[in-house]
Amino acid sequence: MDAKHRVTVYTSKSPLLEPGRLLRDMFSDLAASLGLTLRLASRDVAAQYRQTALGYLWAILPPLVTSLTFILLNGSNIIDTGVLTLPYPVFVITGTVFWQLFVDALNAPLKIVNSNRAMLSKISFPKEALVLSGILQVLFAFVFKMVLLGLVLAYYRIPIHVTAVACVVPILGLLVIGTLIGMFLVPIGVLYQDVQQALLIAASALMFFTPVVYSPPGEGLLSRIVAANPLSPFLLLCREALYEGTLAYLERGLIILAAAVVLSFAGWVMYRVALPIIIERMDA
Amino acid sequence: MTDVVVSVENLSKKYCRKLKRSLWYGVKDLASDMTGRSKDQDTLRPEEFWALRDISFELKRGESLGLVGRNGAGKTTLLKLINGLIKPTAGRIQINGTVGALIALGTGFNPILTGRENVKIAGSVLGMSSREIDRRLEEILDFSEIGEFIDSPVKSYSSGMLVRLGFSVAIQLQPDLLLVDEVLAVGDLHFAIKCIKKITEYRNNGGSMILVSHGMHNIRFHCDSAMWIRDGKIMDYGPAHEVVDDYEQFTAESGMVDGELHVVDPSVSLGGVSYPATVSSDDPFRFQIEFITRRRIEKPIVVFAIFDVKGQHLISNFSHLDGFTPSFEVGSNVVSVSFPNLPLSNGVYSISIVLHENEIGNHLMFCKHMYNFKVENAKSTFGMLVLKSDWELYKN
Repeated sequence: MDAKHRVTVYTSKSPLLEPGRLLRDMFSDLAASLGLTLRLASRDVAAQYRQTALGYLWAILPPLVTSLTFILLNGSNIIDTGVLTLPYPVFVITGTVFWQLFVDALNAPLKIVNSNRAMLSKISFPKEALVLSGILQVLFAFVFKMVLLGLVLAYYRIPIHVTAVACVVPILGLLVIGTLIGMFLVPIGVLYQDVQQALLIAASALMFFTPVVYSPPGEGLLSRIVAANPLSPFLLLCREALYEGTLAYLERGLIILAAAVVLSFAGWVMYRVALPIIIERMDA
Repeated sequence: MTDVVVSVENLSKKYCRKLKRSLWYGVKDLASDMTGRSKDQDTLRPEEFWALRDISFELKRGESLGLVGRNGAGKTTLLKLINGLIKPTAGRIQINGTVGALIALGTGFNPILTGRENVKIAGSVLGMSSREIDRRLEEILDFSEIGEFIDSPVKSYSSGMLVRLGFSVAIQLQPDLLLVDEVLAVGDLHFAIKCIKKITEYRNNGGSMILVSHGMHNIRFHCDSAMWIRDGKIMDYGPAHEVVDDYEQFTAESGMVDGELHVVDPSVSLGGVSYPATVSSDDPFRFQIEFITRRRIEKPIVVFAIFDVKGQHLISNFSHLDGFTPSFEVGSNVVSVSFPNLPLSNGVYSISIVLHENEIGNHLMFCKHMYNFKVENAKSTFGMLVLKSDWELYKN
């Protein structure tokens, strides 16, 4: 639409009452936010790595530390990791690299909205760019994590199968589900700082109900929880696709991914509707 | 295409005073918006107040509106609503065309990144494409006069430099409606003049503007119409100079700055005061104040100071430096200070009185900004002072 002829109306009514206009605005803002997304992402990445000594290493430290902890625990036989066909370090680093992708995506929306409060409350710009730049940054950090994984695989001389291309599904799945939950939490999380705190605890607890550092047990309560956990198929899928050449969990992964994409649309609507309301309370 | 740029109808906005309650209301508002139930509200919940109430106006293409009123009157809230940052509680805003804002310049700058990097980000945030930014980069850097610092992190910039850089980016856009919040006096005088030129240029190109300023000369100079907002309601709306006159008259009579009386020594209290509410810059000015004392004060020193609306300290006269060294007896002591004239430009000013004993620093009482007066009919309204002058022409 020609910007000069744009008519904008603001009222107290819920934008959901005019779904046509809402959809049009959503997609035109999405299109308008692409350039800004790149700028914001490169701003944050540049700023983050310019003022740290370890720079890009920070992307791989969380999965590395988690992995080393579990490698140590496993070496002392403190934990039972189930039946493994891989050297445990390879198993656990694969798990934590992908798991960290989910955790990063989960934290990204709230983190980026909170760190751009001043801009949100003073400048009018397509707000989609914030979340998108958050996703870009998560992906950027993920590239470094993959390098870490590659080095570990080279060290243990573990070959990967052609089916590894199917890892796109778990990557997208973990990214979308993480961002989706993160977006739903933005409105409440901006108003109440409690949410960000709770998110940290929830994410570390959730890790133990997902086959990140162990292979899912055959029976018992934990096995039922792991089976019901929508994140489990993604972790199982990436391991089998990389190291075993099978795709047993592909179908389930695709279904969950499709559901997540649909739900994330709802998350997007919620984010848009919520922002004007929370911006007003931000500087309260 | 309609020639109305923005029309505002019965616009109201409420805010909450208490943080915790405000957050909870936020959750509730969110729930009603998400279920599609929200509609115009006309009642206040506990601890809420109207930040804006029933505001209506229309602005045509090429016209400018000035918003005047005290801090907290609702001017910035109105700009935020028009900018679409927050939602109305009731009423309707329609904007035909694009909106740009010169508000909180430099917001979103990252202190670690260089000026040049920040310019690119700020341009993107304001909706410029990468190509547009690259094309205008030199012009922006030129205008900001940051010079070689442009490749240093902006955390090393002075606040004036930050604002200059922010202004230089924001002014690049030619929106149909420009919202300006108290940024006309950015940086030093040299830069302020450049900004005013730029804004005049924008207006000459047919741009509309809504200007919030405490500088009444800005409103008079830039705006066709003005609106005076008080406690969220329209007090006056009409041609700019009339509204500004009314506003100045009102503030001069009622005390535009929050006056503050602070008595350090309880044996002194304040009595009556007399002075003219309106003077011309040629008139003699006499200010009389009564101190009621419960003990004898051997060497009182009275300080008479004048401030302008922005709080700039214009003059201070010390009684003892003028050779006035009486003592105060118990009871009423009326002190009067006279000036042949106050060579001030048109506007509203406030007077502060401080009473010291024996030496400066030994305070007995402060009367900060308690008394206001207005200067009218100055020959020139440019600059702060109006001095008498003689001009001559010599021919060789």
